[in-house]
Amino acid sequence: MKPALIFYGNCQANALSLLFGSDASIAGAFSVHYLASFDDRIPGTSEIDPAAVASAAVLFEQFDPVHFPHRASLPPACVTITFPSVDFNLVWPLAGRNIFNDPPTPERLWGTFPYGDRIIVEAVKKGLALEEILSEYATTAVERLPNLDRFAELEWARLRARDAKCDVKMAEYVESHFRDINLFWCINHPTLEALRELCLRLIAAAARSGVAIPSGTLDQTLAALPPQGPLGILRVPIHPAVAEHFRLSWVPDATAKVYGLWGEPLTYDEYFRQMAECSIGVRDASPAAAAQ
Amino acid sequence: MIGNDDIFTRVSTVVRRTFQLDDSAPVTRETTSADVDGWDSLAHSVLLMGVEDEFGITFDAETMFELENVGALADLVGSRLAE
Repeated sequence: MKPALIFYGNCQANALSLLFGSDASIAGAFSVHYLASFDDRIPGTSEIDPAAVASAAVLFEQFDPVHFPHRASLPPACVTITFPSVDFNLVWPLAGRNIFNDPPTPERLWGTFPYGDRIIVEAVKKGLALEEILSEYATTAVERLPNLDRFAELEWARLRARDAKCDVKMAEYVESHFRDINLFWCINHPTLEALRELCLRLIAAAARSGVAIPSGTLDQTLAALPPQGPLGILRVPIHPAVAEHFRLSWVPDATAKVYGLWGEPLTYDEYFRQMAECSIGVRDASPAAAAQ
Repeated sequence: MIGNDDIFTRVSTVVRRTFQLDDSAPVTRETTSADVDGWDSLAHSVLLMGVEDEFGITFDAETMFELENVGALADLVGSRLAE
């Protein structure tokens, strides 16, 4: 029986387990398993094979107040490596809870628009019509932006504070590269580029603890994946004023269809129009309607 | 000199405004992020900036993500104003 690598955490940990498990070199040497730390609505992620726990070589535990629940069953030689949730609020300062999201479906476990926008939510709450909502967004978004420099200070402090509790760090990497590389599709979904870096750091941390995880074919494995990777099904637009302020060199013109919703490429305006339409019920964005 | 009760009242007003709570929703010193819909890490930063604006102060960013509840935030404002 191969020794096990266990990933415990949110959807990012699930993505990491999928990447490790799809790499021929890693999967040849280890069995790879995932256990959800919370929000385990993806089928099969709420339980883990006891045999995998008993044969674990490494527990990759995403930092969380609630530890891996089967720690007592891990073998004594198992190494535990903690890593941070890799999330990033900085370029979506207007994001907020979408109280007008569709109910979950089997195809869309978190609804159609799990990432809300505060201006649109407030406009819908005021009872505005579609074009009024979009007009409100267009005319007030810039003035509603927070002080972005102060927001950045707080964001870096937040990421560093969490890094301090983890064996593997990511804050400095994000801060150094976010201007030049697209590292996130939305606030909590890293791109393949960021996931690759996290994979390499986890492998390096395991090596420092005496567990050699082969990484020789990892880049080939990642290159064979669709560019959106395991977490890019939703690509949330970045406000042009935010992109300009932080000099995000990779953000294209707002008319480019680089954003996306469940695989449908959208421009900046199209994305928010659809969100507003769904929020006030003039558009049925369900998978069944989309298929017609 | 602003009294502690006044500080808490103004902090709780910023909390209500940030999370769009109506007047019937209780905000006490013991209120935590778990008690308020939408109080995630992004909203926490928005709240902190709102409190900074309200009192004309700047927090030490490094310590701002360990606050236990609204009371602790109000106490921190009091300490900052007393410096």
